[in-house]
Amino acid sequence: MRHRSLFLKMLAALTILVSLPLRPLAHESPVDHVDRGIRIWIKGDSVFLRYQLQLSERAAMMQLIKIDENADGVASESERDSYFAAFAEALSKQLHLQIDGKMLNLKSDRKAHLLPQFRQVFTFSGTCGALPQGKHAGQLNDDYSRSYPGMYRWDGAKFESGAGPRVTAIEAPKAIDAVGHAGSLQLKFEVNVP
Amino acid sequence: MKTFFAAPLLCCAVLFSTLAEEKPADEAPAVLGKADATIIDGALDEAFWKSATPVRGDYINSKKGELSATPRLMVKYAWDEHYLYIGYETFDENLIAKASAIKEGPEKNIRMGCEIWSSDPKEKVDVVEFFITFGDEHFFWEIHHNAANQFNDVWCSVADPAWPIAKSSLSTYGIIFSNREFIADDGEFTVAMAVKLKSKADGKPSTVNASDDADTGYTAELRLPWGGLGAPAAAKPDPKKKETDWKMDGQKLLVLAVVQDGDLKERYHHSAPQRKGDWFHKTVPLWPKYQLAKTEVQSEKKPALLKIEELTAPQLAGEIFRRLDKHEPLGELMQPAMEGGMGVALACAAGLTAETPHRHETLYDIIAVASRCRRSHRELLRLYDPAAHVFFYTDAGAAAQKQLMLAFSSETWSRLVPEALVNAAPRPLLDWMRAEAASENPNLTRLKLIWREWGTSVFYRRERQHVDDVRAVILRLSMNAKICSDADALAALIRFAGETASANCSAFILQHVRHEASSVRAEAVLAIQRFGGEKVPTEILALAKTERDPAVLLRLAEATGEWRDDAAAGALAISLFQQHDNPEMRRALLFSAAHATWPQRSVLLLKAFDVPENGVLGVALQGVAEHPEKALHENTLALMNVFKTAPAALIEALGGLKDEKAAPYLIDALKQSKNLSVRLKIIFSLEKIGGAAASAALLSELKDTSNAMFAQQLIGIAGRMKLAGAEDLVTALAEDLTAPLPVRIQCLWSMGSLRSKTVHASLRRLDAKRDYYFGSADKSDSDAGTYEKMEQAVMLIKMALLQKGDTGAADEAAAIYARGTPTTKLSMLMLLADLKRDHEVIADGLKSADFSVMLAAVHAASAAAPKKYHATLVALENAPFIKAMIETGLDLNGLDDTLEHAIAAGK
Repeated sequence: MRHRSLFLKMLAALTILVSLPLRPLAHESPVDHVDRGIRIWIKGDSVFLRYQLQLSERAAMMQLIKIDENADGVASESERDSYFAAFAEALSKQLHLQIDGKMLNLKSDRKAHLLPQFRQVFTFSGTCGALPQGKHAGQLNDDYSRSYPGMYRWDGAKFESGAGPRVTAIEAPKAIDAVGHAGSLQLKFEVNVP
Repeated sequence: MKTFFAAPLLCCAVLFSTLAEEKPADEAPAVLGKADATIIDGALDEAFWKSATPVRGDYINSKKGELSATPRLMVKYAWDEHYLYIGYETFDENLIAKASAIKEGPEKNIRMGCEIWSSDPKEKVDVVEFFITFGDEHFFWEIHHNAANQFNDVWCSVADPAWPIAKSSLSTYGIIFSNREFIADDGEFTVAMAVKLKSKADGKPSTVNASDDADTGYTAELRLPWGGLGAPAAAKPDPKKKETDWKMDGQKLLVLAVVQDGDLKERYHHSAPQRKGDWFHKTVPLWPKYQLAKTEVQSEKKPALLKIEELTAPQLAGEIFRRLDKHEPLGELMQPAMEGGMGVALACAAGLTAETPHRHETLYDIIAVASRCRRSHRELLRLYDPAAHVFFYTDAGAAAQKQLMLAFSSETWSRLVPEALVNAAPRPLLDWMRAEAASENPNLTRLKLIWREWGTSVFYRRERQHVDDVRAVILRLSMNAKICSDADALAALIRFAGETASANCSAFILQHVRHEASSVRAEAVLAIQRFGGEKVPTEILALAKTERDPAVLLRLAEATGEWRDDAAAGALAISLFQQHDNPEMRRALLFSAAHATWPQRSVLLLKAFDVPENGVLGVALQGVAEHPEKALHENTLALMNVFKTAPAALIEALGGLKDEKAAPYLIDALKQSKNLSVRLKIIFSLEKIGGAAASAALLSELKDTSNAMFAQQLIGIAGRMKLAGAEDLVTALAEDLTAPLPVRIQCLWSMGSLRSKTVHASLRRLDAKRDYYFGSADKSDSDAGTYEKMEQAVMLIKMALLQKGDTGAADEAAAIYARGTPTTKLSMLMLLADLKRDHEVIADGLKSADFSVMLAAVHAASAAAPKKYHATLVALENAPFIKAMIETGLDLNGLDDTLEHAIAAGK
């Protein structure tokens, strides 16, 4: 009886799911949401992207199942490193960063820095060349957000320091549709080289 | 004028004959650094003392600028927003200190005075003196302090020779010594002084007033509030502006340090290289000059955000301590403190000391929040918060938990202290409870606070480590006479036992079911209910016969639902219903009956028909809707003659009866009602009833309605009922580009069930021209998620075609699944579950790392082919982290029940 009742609740949720507009930034779903924080900075002729995911506890537990490859109930260091190396690599292919209209090839450092409250920090880098003085338009398309929507935070302001190029978000992030893709997050920013 | 000054004054007059003043060369004042929080204990061991510039007090008084070969006095100064701090060291080999007969000071801060001279030549009194002025050469403080921590403060007025007062009887060589004046405290900021005797060669401390040994001197600290010292009024905090700190940045002052060693021929040494002889009081311009360091407010009070993000845990904690000690708001520090995990919490815990009670509330708040992570699986902690893993899962960590027990030395606890202790110090807390259990006088107040917090934690399955230990300690506590004799404590303990499912205490609790205090009885009933079991205990049955207290009766009524299969509980429910007319209790009994299998169930529900007021009948009708026993039919149908306007509970109950006799009544109500939610209830009830009249009414509504939400539900009903006559309308709506998308998608869902060639043909058209019918993702004006909706629509078309037996539909559905988001996958699996249809994607879903997909796959496996997936489901249930997840209090949307059902179905 209880099982049937739960099943009907899931079906009802599904009804809501298919009938409501599916905006990644604001929809009700049994899917685990993932909050993210993004920071972009320029150093020399390279651009760096710090991409932080914050999972729910449930999602973190599910991920543990994948990490624990030998299913012995322990996520060893090697299992963890192996998992996150592959994850970071896959993530790098879903993040598309461009400056001045030029798409940059992002490389991951094949690691995740794990922090309390189920936060995972990935760092990517790409070569943008020496940017001349002035303002440069930038854009980040986050295709990972298509499957895993959630709150979004621009962490750039926290890390501002005095000298050097400043990177600021110039628009609230929005979900866009690209050909053949469902809504993914797009962030527009500006690099100001003094 | 105090006589004790007379002799030394004469001595001063004799000794210091030179009166000529010398103007000092202009020199920059030495800068004094700021103090951190300090304990006035005489030891100069704080970091700021170590970094302060030492000032030599070795200048021989009778000579200008000549230093003693042997150190006599070393002084350091520091300051903060409330005090001037003086730290000094002497090197005296024979410490002599003599108290004066005077005690003075503010009422709550009286200090013993000291003699600075003795008429007995054998008493070679030693004393250290400080002269302090903010630039005024005529008015300033003279302070005396000795090895016995005795203290004088004298307000000195140095009269200009031209002033008449210079020649008055109050003046002594032009100086008026106001001995009765004292440096006042400034509110909570008080004068303080302390001495620490230095060790002699034999390791023992130097002695005061014992000349048979060789002393080495002492160190001392003096703390003097700005208000008491007479700092400039402009620097005073303005209460109208809510200022609390003195604004002393950059303030200049002059301080002369002097040491008197009674054993020396050259008795006086001081810190002013420019002076020679004369009254100390009359050489103010020659005193050393100091300036309080100018602080950069922004960098000190508010570190740049960059710095906060880069701070290590100890650095962050240190900044928190600093602000707490200065009574500054923590502001932007709170979020990193809370987010920093146990590393930061433990660094903060280091700031919990007996000397810093002002920090405790905030630090315990941080610890309480950060340590909530203990509810997580240890592997998660090991990955994400290694400090927490060590703290909670190692012996070293367990030992470190004891530090948090400092809370027990405080008189009162702030709001989050119990949570902090339960979360972060479970092991020492258990030890404490064991000790309290054995104590003749346990601290009942604190025990209750801990029980309430820990009980909730166990009840909501946040506690994963120590549940068995908690239950064991509860059993011990139940044997404590003092606890058992206090009704309040006993009730709290019983509640604790119930929340923690401490069935080992059943006998103890049943013993108190007939306690004289109703609070104890009520908690006992609740606890027994929580223990569960198949049969209602006889003690409960006995209690029910005589109980009169409304709160306890309500608990009894609620408890009956626990024994849903026990006839004795059913009899109890009827008995209570008949004996007490309390509507709240009666409703509770009927709620309990809703899911019960008591043989007396229908009798109880029917009793409610006789006393319908106050929602009693409404709850009974919910029970009818849940499980409409035959005995309830006639009475329920009879209500159609009582209620002209159908109430919601009756609508649902009539639907539950599934009796066509109710159809005309409901159809009439449907026509009359304008309320959407009531109309929805009616159509769902008509769906349950079925039959020709209901079907016709539903079809008519479908044709007439213009409300999208209502139409959507009717279309769903049409599909489930396979409603003849709905096919054309549903297919037309599915292909209508102007119809709301949710309605059209619902049509797709239902079309799979509807049987007609029209439907099949429509599905093929929709599939062939999906871009036309559902839009394209490359349209520039398409909003976010259009593609997602299109995928949903295509998936539904494929699933509908699958039901029709179209070849290729299965493979195409699999392709949609493969590229889909978790939402799409979830949708497809739930559809397969609803259709009870096996498909290869179910196996894939069972391996998914996405929780919702896995859950939907379990539903689908259970509905479609439980035997086929049995082994996979068993493996899933036994997977270490799945098991761990199920054991937590995480919201798993009923995964455990679903798995259990699925596995049972496959056996």
